[in-house]
Amino acid sequence: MLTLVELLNPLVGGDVVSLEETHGGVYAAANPLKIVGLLTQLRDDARFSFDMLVDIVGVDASGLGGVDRFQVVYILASTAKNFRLSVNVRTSAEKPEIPSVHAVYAVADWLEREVYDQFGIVFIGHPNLKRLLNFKDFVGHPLRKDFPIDGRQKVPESEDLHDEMKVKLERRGRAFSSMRIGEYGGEHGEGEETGDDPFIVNLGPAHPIVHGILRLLLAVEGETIVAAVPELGYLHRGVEKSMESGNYHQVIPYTDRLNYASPMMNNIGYCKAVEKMLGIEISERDALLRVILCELGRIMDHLLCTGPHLVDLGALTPFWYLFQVREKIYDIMEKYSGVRLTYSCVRIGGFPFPLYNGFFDDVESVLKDLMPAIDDVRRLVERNRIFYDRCCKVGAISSAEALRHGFTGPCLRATGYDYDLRKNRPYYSYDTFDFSVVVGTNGDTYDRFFVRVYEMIESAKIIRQAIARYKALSSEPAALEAKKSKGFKKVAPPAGALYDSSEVANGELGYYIVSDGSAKPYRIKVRSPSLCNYSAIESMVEGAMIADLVSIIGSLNVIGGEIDR
Amino acid sequence: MAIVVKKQKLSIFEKLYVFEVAAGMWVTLRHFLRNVFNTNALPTLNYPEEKRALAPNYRGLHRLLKKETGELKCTACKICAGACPARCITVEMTLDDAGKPKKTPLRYDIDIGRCIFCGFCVEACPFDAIDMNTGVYELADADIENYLYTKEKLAR
Amino acid sequence: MTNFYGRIDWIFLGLTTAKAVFAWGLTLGFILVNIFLERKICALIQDRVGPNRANILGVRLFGFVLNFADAVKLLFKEDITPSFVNKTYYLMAPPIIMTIALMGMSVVPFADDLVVGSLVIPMRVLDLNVGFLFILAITSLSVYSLVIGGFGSNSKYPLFAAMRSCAQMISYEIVMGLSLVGLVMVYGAVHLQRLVVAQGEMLFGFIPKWGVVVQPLGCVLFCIAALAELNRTPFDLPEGESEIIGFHVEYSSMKFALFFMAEYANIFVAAAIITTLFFGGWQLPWLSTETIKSNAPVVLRACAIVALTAAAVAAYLLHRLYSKRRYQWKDLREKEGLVFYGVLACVGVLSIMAMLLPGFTPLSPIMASGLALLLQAGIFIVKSFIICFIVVWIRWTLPRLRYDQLMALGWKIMLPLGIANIVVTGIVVLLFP
Repeated sequence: MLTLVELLNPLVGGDVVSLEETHGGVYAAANPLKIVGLLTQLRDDARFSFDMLVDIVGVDASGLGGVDRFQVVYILASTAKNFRLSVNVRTSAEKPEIPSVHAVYAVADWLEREVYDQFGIVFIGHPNLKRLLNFKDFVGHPLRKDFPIDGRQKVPESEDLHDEMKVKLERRGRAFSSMRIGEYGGEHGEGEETGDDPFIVNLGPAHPIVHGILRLLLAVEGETIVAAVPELGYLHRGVEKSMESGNYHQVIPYTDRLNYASPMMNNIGYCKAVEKMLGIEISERDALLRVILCELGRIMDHLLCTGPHLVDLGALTPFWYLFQVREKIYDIMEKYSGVRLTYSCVRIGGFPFPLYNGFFDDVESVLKDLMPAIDDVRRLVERNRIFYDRCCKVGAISSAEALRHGFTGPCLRATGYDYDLRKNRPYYSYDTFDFSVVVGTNGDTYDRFFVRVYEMIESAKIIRQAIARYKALSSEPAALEAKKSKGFKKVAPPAGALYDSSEVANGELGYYIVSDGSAKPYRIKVRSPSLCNYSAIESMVEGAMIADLVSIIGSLNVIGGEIDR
Repeated sequence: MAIVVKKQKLSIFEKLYVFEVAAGMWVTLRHFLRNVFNTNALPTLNYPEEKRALAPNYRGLHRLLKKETGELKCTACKICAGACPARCITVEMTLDDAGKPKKTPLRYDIDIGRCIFCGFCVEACPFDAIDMNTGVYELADADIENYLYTKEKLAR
Repeated sequence: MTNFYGRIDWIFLGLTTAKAVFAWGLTLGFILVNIFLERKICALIQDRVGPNRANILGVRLFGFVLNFADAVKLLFKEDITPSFVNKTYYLMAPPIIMTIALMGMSVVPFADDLVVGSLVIPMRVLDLNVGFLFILAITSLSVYSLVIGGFGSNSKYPLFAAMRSCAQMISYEIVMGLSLVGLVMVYGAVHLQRLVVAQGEMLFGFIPKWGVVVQPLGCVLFCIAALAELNRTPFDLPEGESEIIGFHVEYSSMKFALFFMAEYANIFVAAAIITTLFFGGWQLPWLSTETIKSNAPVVLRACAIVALTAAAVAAYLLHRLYSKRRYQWKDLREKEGLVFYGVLACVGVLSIMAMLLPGFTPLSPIMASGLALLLQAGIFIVKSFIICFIVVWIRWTLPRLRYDQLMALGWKIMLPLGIANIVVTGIVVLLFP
């Protein structure tokens, strides 16, 4: 069994320029012009089989040294062989161009658009190199170091997306005609109206079914969707730029607001990454408490996905049964951290608050209330033919396509692919807990829904085991030592870069942190699982009906804050 | 090892919608009958007659704490302003007549409109001069100028 | 309206007006009841309280007063007519559907014919002998309103909704018609009064020959088709709030209120029709009109006892509600209990008076007929109320059907079942006359 470094060594000197292994990860520098060939080789070669592109990170390395200003990092994962590799290329400021890898990994379509948006790096051969998160006519590239933090610009008017739709329809052999209101049978909008062109409908940013704020321009024919153009960025707050303006501690409230359905998991993921960079190991008791909080967050997030999904389908009652449990989890977190949503409940190296007396009893009562709620909901929908027809075979996606789109989490496991970071790349001794990974068969909406339901039950199992271990470790019922840290100690990781990820409710949440040795982070990129899950929406929705679109978006669990950051 | 959500096939009884519909209606009827005779036990809170009991460490409006003598504990060291992620605290030290700094704030403003109620200022303060245990969360106002809470408003 | 000599028959006119006021007033009143049921049942199923603040001098009636607040709100809303709509069609749509709901109610009998001396007064607004064919024809017209409204809005979402709604309603009208053919075969009548009277007969001596007993499959098919006609969940895709927001997107204020009210009026009308056809209409299960009229004192006493028991139970439940409250209103709403206790006390007093009445005076035939009328109208309202409750209950239990599944259900499953129902009913009727 060769390690990754040994397998990659023969490539050094050719496509790969250099190879190093730090922080337990492998980093390869490559030639930008040969990147497509290198990634194809890494994907197809059976010794590596890097089947998933986890993230593409852009870095403005003008403060880090080196000749070329921009650095683009491709983070690859081999799910079968459990390898991780970061390939970085550099390109100069005068001519920032890199060949696009969208043909190798489908998710690179949106990830490269985001790098283009934030840095201005042009990806040659990209089919639709348009801004992703900022509006079309934005001037400048926000994450460059010379862009001021308060350089916000007003959107003059919303984009009508007709140009993208025209291209898509032409690729499918249809014509584009947009009819304006009030002109049926009268003058036409653009194009020649032939009468059987698809109907252009806007599923706008403010719509009950879109969670967060997303927009889809649909070309429909009767009920069937012919093409869909998504538009993101309505909730873009410039989180990554703001993270660079404070110190490492002040990043924690920003992570709260990424996936606001389960904020503690984002906090814990970030602190885990920084602790890895600093080389800090937290105590076993703290690790167990982090596991308990993470699994509570997972239950919260899955309740938030399944409840509104059923509301979108028209079943308005199960939402209330599920959200009562969520209210109780909010009550626990309020007693623990002081607020009900944006907790900031971990710090780098430990916790800021002691556990309160009765924390474990409250958690146990929540788990006890969870089961009747899930049972009621299952009895309402599981064998109901109406739900079955709405969800079975709707939005089905194969494992291969899911991996190409960078799916992780329940959406990937619903296709039948068993990949869970808690089992495959365990952290915080997850491999010592007795729980099962839930896997689906068809990758359709029905599977995604029930994978989440069963995962909640598994999380309850993990929480009970963790509580038992915690009580065995500490002599007192709760860790009551005063944990008020006087001030925030200076955190300055050594210069370098690190990618670390954890399994949150939606999939793999990763943080790519670049440090220049100072107390302020140089660059933090959040690898958002919802963005990669949502990137497959165009192919999933084609040929489906509008009612299916509702079901698909609901089951993918798109959280606006995480997609747009 | 993994739990598999299997490929579903509905039985003939389930394909006729009505039986499963009846089972679902029984679930809702159970909830209905339990609730219609016990309206007082429902989890709905009738705000503002009934307010939720807040946790003791609920992060509400800030307050500047005072010593027994009645002066503020705050020494205007500006550590809280540095720790605040939203940059909403403005502190100015008092200077006495000779220009030497006196350890008490001349100005201590928190812009509640910008504050994210994270509690970092409380955690960072070395003198325990500020806390957020007032339990006040009804801070809505019609005028945005009233969101700048000055030292006088904060020193409760 | 004119008798044989060309003069206006004032009695007939007066009676018809009174019946119309009653029937249509009942429908409009049931709009309020339906809205209240919808909100309160929704809340109680979902573990929450529902409306409990709108009050008139402290009396909240468990949220019923909210309907009046809604009416006032809708009246005072700004009436916007968008510039791009086709004004004729846009303005024509809401009144049509409200009219149709009321017209459908015109033929439903709410009690047995009243015999006053030599005058036989039929207890329905229109005495048509085409019976439920009239109702089927009238409800078909409501499609016009939706389509005209959706198309006239000149906007894409209402157009979608209008197209879906039109196709859905037309498909389910066929099922509605087919499911009633079996009923006609069994009872041999189309006239609604004769149908209700025929449901008073006994099957095997003790089971009343209600429609649901004789034609169970027909009942199920008709009820599901009626739900589809009403555009209620699980068939509410045309007004599917989550996706295509509905055909009434461009409407505001009173025009929207008319659509809204017409939907709830239609629920009551459909419930009344289902009651009439399948659940015995105004028939009390084992008591025919003759029985009531001849045993009027006994019946009166029995009703009084029932009313007294109900008042006692209601008083106990109210006491439990008010004593276990968690919070204080601190204004007039605290005194609400007194109003309720007062009403229940009046009911109790009236029941006792009714119990003692036959002991003092014998009941004249007019009073007996009046008693029968009241009882039958009352049971008719109670049965319709139960069906409205079930319609609302179904809404909060089931998800929505997708459009093509809805059409497949109508054409591929329910239509063959309807035809099979006719065939089987025909065979049974021939074998056991």
